[in-house]
Amino acid sequence: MTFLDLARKNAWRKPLRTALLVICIAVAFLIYGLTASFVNGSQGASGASDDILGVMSAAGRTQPLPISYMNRIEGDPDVAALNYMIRLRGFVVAEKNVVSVSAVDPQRVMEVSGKELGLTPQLLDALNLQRDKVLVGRALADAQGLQVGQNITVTGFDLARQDGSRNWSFGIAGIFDGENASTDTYFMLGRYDYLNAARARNRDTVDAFVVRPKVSASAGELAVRIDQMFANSAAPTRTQSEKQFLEAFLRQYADVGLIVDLVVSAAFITLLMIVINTMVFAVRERTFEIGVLKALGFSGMQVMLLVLGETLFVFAVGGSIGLVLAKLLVAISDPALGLVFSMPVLAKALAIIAFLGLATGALPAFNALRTPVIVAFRGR
Amino acid sequence: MSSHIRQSFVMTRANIFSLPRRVSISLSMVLSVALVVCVLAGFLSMAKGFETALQSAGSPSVAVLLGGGTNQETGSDIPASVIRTLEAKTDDIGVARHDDGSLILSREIVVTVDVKPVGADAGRTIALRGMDAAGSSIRDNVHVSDGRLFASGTREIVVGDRFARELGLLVGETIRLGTVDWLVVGRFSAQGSAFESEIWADLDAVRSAFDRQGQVQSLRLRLAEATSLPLLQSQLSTITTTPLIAVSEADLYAAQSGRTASLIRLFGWPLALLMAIGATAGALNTMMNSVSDRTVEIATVRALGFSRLSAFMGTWIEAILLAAIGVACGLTISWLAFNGWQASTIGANNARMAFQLVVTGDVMLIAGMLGLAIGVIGGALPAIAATRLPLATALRSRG
Repeated sequence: MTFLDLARKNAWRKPLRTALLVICIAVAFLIYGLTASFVNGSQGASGASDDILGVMSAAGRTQPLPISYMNRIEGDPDVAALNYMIRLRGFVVAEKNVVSVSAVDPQRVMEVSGKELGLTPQLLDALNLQRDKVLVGRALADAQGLQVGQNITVTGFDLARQDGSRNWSFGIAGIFDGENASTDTYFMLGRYDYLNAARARNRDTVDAFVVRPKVSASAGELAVRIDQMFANSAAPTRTQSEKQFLEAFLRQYADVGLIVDLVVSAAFITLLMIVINTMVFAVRERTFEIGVLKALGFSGMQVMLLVLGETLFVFAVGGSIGLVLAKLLVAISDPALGLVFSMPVLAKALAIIAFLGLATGALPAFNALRTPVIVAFRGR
Repeated sequence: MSSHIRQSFVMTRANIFSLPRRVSISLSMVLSVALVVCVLAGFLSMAKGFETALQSAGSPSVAVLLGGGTNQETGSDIPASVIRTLEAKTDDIGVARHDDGSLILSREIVVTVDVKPVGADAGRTIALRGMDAAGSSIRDNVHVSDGRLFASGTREIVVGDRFARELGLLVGETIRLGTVDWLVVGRFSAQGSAFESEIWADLDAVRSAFDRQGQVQSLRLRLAEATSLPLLQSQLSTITTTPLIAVSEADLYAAQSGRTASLIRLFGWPLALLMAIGATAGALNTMMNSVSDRTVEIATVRALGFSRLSAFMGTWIEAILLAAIGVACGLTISWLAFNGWQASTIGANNARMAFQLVVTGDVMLIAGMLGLAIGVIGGALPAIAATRLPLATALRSRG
């Protein structure tokens, strides 16, 4: 019988108790897996780039900037590529099906964020075919069952056409996947010239410029320089990296990070206490056996390792069950939630399993180490 | 029967007096129940606070007119011709009138702007509402708490109390909204409702500063009485062919609060239930330890003739008692920590809306029930186990 076998046998001597511990641990790691997937997913800011800069009006993200700023920004030697966009937020058919369309210049979007969005020359050609074509992100297409070739009408919340209506019709030319799972693809790419020509107000303005700095350039310094260019103009700008913008934007909804931290630590604290106490109890119950093991020649160290191995085993089983459940739930969850169970999440979870397994085992293991044989036998 | 009760009572007392032997594991059960209660109470009070802020904003005796096929202010648009026709009506359309016979109405438009507090690196998105002079008096429960209202045609603003506090804005300061500076001439209080997160200004000043000439998003009308809304609705269809919606302000805000509040609850409940499952497993463990700790005692009194019921009740009541202590701790903590906590989110009009968490009676009741359920369920199984102890083996085990 190997050492591990002994630990395993020990763990299952009271199956119900161990099963309950496993459930506790599984639940804690299920909560951890789900919340971490949420923060890590496209709803969080982790998929956003630190390098790509967004230039928006300092007066608010809904205020327009003149398109003439484009030439001055492009004049900066550190700018590698630049794109401009209008944002059309609206709904399809029912008011709860909110979608957003980023109307851009097709050639420029390829240069600035073609790689991140997973755009191919074929998709670009399809978008170029006609003015009212759109490319739909994979997440949005899955969530609302949109297919290539379909025509949809987006009723804008704010953006009106010259004839007073707010209905914009588009033909779906293709679906883009995004570079990886954490890329936000819950939107559509449309064409600037179509929206700009037909809209009632703010003709020839943009909602934002998207700037990709040269690799050698510092994005932070470039952002400051761009804002200085327009500081004393009628429409001052605010330049932020995509990540900064998203983080600030999301924080206005709710401090998700804080809530997640609080909930996860509450779950882990509960778990830790229950497991430590149960294991201390289990070791005390087993004082006699520990005495026998020691009398048989097992060193105190080995006995300690045995108890540690037992808690680690319980944690490994419970943690894996929790993480597998989390993975399954993420897979079947609504794509609009944008949950992503990625490798870093898994790695961090495994590290926590190992750490908590050792931490909770420490006290009972130490108790076992200290138990003198003579006392152990006296217990009988 | 009475002997059952007496025996149960004795067993419960014995259980409770033996608690110090298992103090740490019992404490862990108390604490885990308390944490579950805290998490659920936190989410529920957040949803409740959000609802309270929006519901107290709406008044049933104010009608809101929206156009453009939407039932929110964003995206709504009311043609000028409709307003002229409405104003020209001389027969009763269910709307209160000034002494000179004109309708009490306010044309309104909402613009979202970023305000950057001094020293902060991120701006906040705020709703700037342009309205007619009657706008503030149409609303119920709104009064100017400091300074005065904006004068018509000037770039003056009044700021909601909650928002002014958050930003430290004082009367007499200027702030930049959009591309121009605005003078703060007053603050208004709306009893903590959603209005306090807004900035109010003159309609024409807002329209010119944000290039919205001639646009009216919504029309607020003071109803003659709360029941005259159907009259107004029936009159509307005779005025124009453009589809217009008239809702009471109370309904407008209630509809908005519904979705976000249910989203918060949708988030909170699964988390709290998952944690409750974990805590129940913990409670089962605690109580099983209690039973195994007291095996000899239970077997002894059973051998003396105590009933199975009393063995069950002793353990079960101990579990419920521990859970009840946990619930009490959890509720106290959440009341102290969450009640009055300032929170904010993006609400109507895509602008920031501040609200206060409220731990109300039903929030406490629901969270408390969940906590007690942990004790009731987690205690029952070990209690049944206590009744089934094989007496002979149990007594022999500690020979």
